[in-house]
Amino acid sequence: MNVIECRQLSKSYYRKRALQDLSFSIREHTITGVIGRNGAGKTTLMKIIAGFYRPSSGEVTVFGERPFNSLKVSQNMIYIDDQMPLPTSLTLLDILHMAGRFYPNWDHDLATRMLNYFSLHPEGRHHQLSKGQRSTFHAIVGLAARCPLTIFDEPTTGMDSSIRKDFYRALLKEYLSHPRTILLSSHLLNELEDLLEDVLLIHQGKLLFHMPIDELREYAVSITGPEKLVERVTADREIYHQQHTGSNVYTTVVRRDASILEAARQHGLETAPVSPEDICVYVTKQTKGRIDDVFNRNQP
Amino acid sequence: MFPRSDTTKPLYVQIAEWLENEILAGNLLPHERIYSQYQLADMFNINPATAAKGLTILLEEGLVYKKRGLGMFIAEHAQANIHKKRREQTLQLLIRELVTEAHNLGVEESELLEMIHQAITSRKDGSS
Amino acid sequence: MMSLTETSLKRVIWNQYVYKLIALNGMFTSLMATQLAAFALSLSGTGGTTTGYGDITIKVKYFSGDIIFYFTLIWAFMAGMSITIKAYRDADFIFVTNRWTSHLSNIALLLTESLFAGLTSPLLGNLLKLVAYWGNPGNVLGVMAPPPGSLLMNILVTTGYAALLSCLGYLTGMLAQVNKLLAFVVPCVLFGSLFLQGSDGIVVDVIRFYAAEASVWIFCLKAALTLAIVYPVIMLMSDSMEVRR
Repeated sequence: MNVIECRQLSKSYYRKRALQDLSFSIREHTITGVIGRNGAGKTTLMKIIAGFYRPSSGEVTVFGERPFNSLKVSQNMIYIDDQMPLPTSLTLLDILHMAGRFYPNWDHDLATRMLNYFSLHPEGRHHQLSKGQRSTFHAIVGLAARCPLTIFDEPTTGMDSSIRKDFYRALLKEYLSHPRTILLSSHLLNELEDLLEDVLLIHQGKLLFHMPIDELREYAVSITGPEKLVERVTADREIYHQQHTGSNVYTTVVRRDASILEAARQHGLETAPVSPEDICVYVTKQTKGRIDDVFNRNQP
Repeated sequence: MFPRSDTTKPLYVQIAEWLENEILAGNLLPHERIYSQYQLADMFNINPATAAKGLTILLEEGLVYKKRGLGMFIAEHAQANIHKKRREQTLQLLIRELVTEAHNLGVEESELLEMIHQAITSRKDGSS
Repeated sequence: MMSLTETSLKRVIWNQYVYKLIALNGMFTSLMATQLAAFALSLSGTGGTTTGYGDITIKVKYFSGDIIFYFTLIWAFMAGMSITIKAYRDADFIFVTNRWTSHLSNIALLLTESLFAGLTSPLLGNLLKLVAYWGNPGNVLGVMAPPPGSLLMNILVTTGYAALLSCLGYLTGMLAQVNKLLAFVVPCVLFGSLFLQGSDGIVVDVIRFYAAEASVWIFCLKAALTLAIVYPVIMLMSDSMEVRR
């Protein structure tokens, strides 16, 4: 059953095309990572799904309805980011009580236990929290609400690495005990890898791919060896990335399949897997050349 | 938490191998219920879909069987079957790699056999 | 496994209303501050005349709840406008809402506050008169004894005006959200017509429609009808506004 369906979804603002022709569906009870560079359109996409923005063209349905202005979607969905404009006049505990009124699946006990675990004061105010504490608090609200569709937009902003680990663990445990459909956007794909089932890669407003993380892990392979030999073996293939990794040692990243693996083996070339994070970086390269070129300018 | 030293193998394959090791070691006995995808996900801190894929491998190889509504259970001769498989596939693979590497390094057949002998002997000594 | 929750418009509006009542309690404090300021200002008299003949000068000071009343109306207008700002609209969308429940709970909030203002304003006015009476022993020339039941009428009328002004503020604020230019143009046109057309103008006619009404109950009816027309118009007008968050 598809919770989210997008068909040729596009969104433009003042001449800028934020999203172009996106078509995909998200199945029920999955954790999907929404990956992309800054400005790729991840937040725009997720806010359209949440019903905050309207598409410029194309269709999007959530739970079978258009999310904009839909009470049904709003009731069964929660959108968490670091900007949530929670009131400053309520204490953190009051906010949790408020949330409990809106969401019938709310687990208040869980929320207060997490508040305690992360050392957030129940009597504190939202505006007094540090950046990381704010993200933590929002994450607690998002998890305890137990909405059938839970959207986390860069939920770990400002969190240090041990808190992030705790968040991923809490997310997984909640997902196991109360399955729901989760969309999670983040820059840190390598941290998220094990948690995800599917990956949606957005680049410059377009959908580059939507595939299971296991497939993405085996999407590409790196071939390493003497430059000329590597070039010959990878001659008529799409190159995702290449660089010198030693004197006369060259590494090229190409699409993984049986024939390239066999060819590499025969020629004694080293093969290595390419992590999902790396392949996403290669496929969405925006910068011209490499960072080293900026520093190499003055060298002969 | 999960030993990811061998990153060339897909995660679900590593899960399957871990389960096979458990069966081999006798920690999982025939007709016992094997870990569910949720238990594995909790234990290894991974998505249950990945864990499910690992279980599917075992199912396809006949090492576990499904009882509708109750889960998956270890098959009668699972341990023996794994032994057989490991010997055939894994050892063969290692042998092939060994032979290729020896060839690349210019090691003669007789020298290679000698090295294998030594390794076996020293292992026997080490364990006695 | 997780079944969808049934939505109830009424329940959501109620929850939103309670949420705003608690979260936006700053409005009540600003009302009190405004009224207290007006009260303080009124202590030196809300009107007066001076006459003299020869060596004798007579200064007459009037005390009434007028200043408190007008300050309350200004506050009502500001209150209506202030809940239309981006931050508050965005805040609605943290939990459960759609554009209709957002408006309806705002309207409920404004009506509640108008009632509150309608209660406190006349009461404060009466308090002022008491203070003036006891504060000037022996100097009091006359007290216009209010007829019985006038307090209730006062409350109704003040509530009605506060509700109208807060509606006007909400309208202005919403226009500003739709198009910043509108929010500037409309007041200009209104004030412009006031200046140019003076007492023959449209604006004055509109004000007279309410202000010259002698019957309290008909006034309340006029106010209620106005709200029943203007608010739905505002709701329809802003139906497709996006929440920027």
